[in-house]
Amino acid sequence: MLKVFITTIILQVSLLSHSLVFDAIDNEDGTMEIMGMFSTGVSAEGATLKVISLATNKIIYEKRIPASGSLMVNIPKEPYKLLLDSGPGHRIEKNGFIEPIGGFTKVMAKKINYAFYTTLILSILFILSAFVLHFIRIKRVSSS
Amino acid sequence: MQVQNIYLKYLKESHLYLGLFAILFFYISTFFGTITVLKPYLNSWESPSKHITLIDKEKIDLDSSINAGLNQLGNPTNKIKITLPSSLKTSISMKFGHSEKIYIDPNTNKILDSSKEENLLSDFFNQMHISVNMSRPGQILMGLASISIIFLTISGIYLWLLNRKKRSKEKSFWFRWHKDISLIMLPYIIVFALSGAVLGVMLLASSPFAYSATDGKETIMGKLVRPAVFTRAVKIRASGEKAQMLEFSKLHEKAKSNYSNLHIKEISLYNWKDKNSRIVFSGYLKDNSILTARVNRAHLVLNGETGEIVRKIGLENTHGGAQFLSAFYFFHFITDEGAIFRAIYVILGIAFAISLVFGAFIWIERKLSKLKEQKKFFHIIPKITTAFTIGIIPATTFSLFLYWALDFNMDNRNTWIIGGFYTMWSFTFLYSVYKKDALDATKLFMYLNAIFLILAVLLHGNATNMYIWNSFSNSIWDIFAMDLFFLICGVLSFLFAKNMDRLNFLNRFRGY
Repeated sequence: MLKVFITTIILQVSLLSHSLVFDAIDNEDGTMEIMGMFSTGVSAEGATLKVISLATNKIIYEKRIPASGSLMVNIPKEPYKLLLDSGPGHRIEKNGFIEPIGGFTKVMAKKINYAFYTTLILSILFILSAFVLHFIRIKRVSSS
Repeated sequence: MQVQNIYLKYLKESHLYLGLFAILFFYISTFFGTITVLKPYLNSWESPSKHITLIDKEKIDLDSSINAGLNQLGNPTNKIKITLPSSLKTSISMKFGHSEKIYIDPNTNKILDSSKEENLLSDFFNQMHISVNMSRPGQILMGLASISIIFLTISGIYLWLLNRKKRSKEKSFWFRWHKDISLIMLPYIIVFALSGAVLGVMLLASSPFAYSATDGKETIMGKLVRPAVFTRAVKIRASGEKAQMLEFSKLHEKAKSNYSNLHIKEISLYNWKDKNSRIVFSGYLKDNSILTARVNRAHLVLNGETGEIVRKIGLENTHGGAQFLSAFYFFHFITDEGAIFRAIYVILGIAFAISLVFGAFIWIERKLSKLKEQKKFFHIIPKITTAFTIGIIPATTFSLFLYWALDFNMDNRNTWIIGGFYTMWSFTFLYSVYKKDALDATKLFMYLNAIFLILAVLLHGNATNMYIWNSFSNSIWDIFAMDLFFLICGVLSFLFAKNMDRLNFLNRFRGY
């Protein structure tokens, strides 16, 4: 019984260690090899790899990872990000760090995430105001 | 006697302070866990493409729908997984390897356009449930809170037995309810505290054991344990020789007649259109759904070309560890269970959340009585408690409202929705502090909750052309049930806010 319990606990852990990872290698011939896998070492076969331009936000390249677990992709001339998509909860993206021979020819479009900053600032403002209000009240009560 | 008193004092104090820590995380986990119980229905509700009528399983045209799905996936031949519709999910889903899922309407055998649908709400609520959205640190804190709950359960029972023996009667209202609800909920608490502890803490703790056991070669315990415990359904490789497959409907019929005790939930294809093709029908056993839940499915493996049985895996072939884990998962995730079982879990979840809040109120009441003596009425803990326990409700329903109010093509739509949740939650904290009486703050929160819920239902109808009366008349029961559930919660919330002043019971909250 004890054995079963211990195995269960170990198993429970093992089932969760399951996150998507990927890496890119520069072939130094204008192409790169992108490898997609899970942290368990299992190939991410079937997951969709997207190369998205950071200048135009358009998808430059899209293909499923084959059984070999890697894809050969031409290095874009513009700044890009790589997105590996294996469905909700298993999606990972990285800015492309491998540059083409001679560097990028286009400039990255600067995009401010207004949604993030607006909600973050408002949240912080509300929380800080709450503490300030609380301390003002304490001071008033103590002085009276 | 003196030693015993000191011992008891320390036990009570540790129960109290560990309880305050655990409540903070476990309440959030319980609140979102209770919503997550409805995840399959919420998934359908937030995905307009999946607003489809539930079809009788016997009437599904498996050949047309699976072939349409294979075509959409680019005709892969290996590791294809097909999930059949059930009372929890009206569409057929398909994927191969680690591809994203595609969905098929079994009524029309057409691919559903779910390209803009991400299960945002249900995934976000689930994230809040398992880690308060703090990734690994949150998961660890949740695990520690779960371990604390185990200690609190044991110490709570011990203290109760001791008090019972001494026949001492605790007069505190909060104490009585905290104790009574917790004792009734004991099995539920143990299941969730244990699973929370294992999921939260053991996850991090396993790597050193794996590292040590393999002399530094491996850090993932799963790689070491999985092959020994789980039976692999298919081991054969493709021969490279092409073959004509039998129709899916015929193979399905064969599986049903050869394994009548198996409730088929999934079909997997290996080496398809090859001489060594295999089709695996898996699901739970009708006479033992607990031990064949999720991680320990029963299987029937057939040859895709001839339909002959290759392998039959029932409970007798599976490892005790897998069976134990299956039971563990069954009670936590209730994977295969329908509406009634889930409704019971929702009620239990609400009761447990109330028990946790009452636990916090024992401390607040004592603390405030001391503060009142010193004429210091303002304490931050009751305000935080109000925001954490009540304020989180309108914050959650605000995200439901935003989900349908914002355009699906809007830039950073997901960030607006999730950010909106945190902003509203922060606002409830400010408002709790601003209002000297928690009951006044609660009244506004309940009104807001009612407004957001009713608006969410209306906006959902407007965005999908599927108002509650449409889903009823078209027998789309999962969507109808979710709309109805939100409306009932909204109306109850409104009535509660409107009649709060008349409820004498609530006067206990006055002054907090």
